[in-house]
Amino acid sequence: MMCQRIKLLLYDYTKGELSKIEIDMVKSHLEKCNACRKEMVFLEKIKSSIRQELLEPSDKILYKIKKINFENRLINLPVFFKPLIAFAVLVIFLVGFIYFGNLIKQGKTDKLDKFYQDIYDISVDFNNLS
Amino acid sequence: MPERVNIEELYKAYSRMVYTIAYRIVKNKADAEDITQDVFIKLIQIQDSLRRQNLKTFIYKITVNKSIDRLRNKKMQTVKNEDIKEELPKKKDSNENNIILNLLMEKIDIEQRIPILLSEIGGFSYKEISEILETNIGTIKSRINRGINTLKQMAKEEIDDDVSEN
Ligand SMILES: [Zn+2]
Repeated sequence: MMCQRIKLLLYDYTKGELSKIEIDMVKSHLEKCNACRKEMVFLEKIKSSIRQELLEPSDKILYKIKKINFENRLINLPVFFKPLIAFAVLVIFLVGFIYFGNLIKQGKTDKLDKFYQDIYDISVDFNNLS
Repeated sequence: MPERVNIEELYKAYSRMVYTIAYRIVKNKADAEDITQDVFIKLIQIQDSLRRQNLKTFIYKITVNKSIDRLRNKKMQTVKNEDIKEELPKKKDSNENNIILNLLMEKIDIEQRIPILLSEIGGFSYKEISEILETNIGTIKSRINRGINTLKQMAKEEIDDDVSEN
């Protein structure tokens, strides 16, 4: 009779989900009952077999998660970042203008002429097409 | 400002548990991987509202819900069970005993299996499991105990007697 009662409490006992009185009851019964001790050992085996093996998902999931996380962070950049990026673009344009301006000042217009010539050629080609 | 949760850190900490729980519920690797991916995409989407507190419980909750959804959709297509049809090996070697026990676990009713997985793999208390599954604690407790008893019963029949004696 007692053994039956104890067996019903064993899983909760391993989980620490019993009252203080029940814990003491199970503990003292286990000390003197060989059959229930065996039952306990068997239960622990079953528990460890469930816990035993954590499976590993394939790496492609990690890569996909990294990618999505990165994209998500770009989209959700903090508000103050956006003017910062606009400012950076402006700076790049300014530097470009100053560079070309210097080329002209120094009389190195051949590079610039070549540039205009290319644009002209492209626009002629484009007109011929249409 | 609360500390922002790092998704890659979360992935490192939880992906194996998420995948294992999903796999043990849907019993299929491809589905379990889809679920794992969905769980973390969901976490990315709500990253800013994530708090470290209760995070583990929350992750398991999404995992279980997505797995059950997947299972329901599959049931509607009446897909056969790929893994249980394997013959149970009958050897004394302890590794093989674990295999047997794992296969037996698959036979436990899903209502009992899920709280058992949360209890053993997740290490959750009955109270936490009842929050994850939104079921009252008494029901959880009795489902877990019934499942474990069935498992013990089947294991005793399946595995040689001496396993329970050493
Ligand atoms: Zn006893």
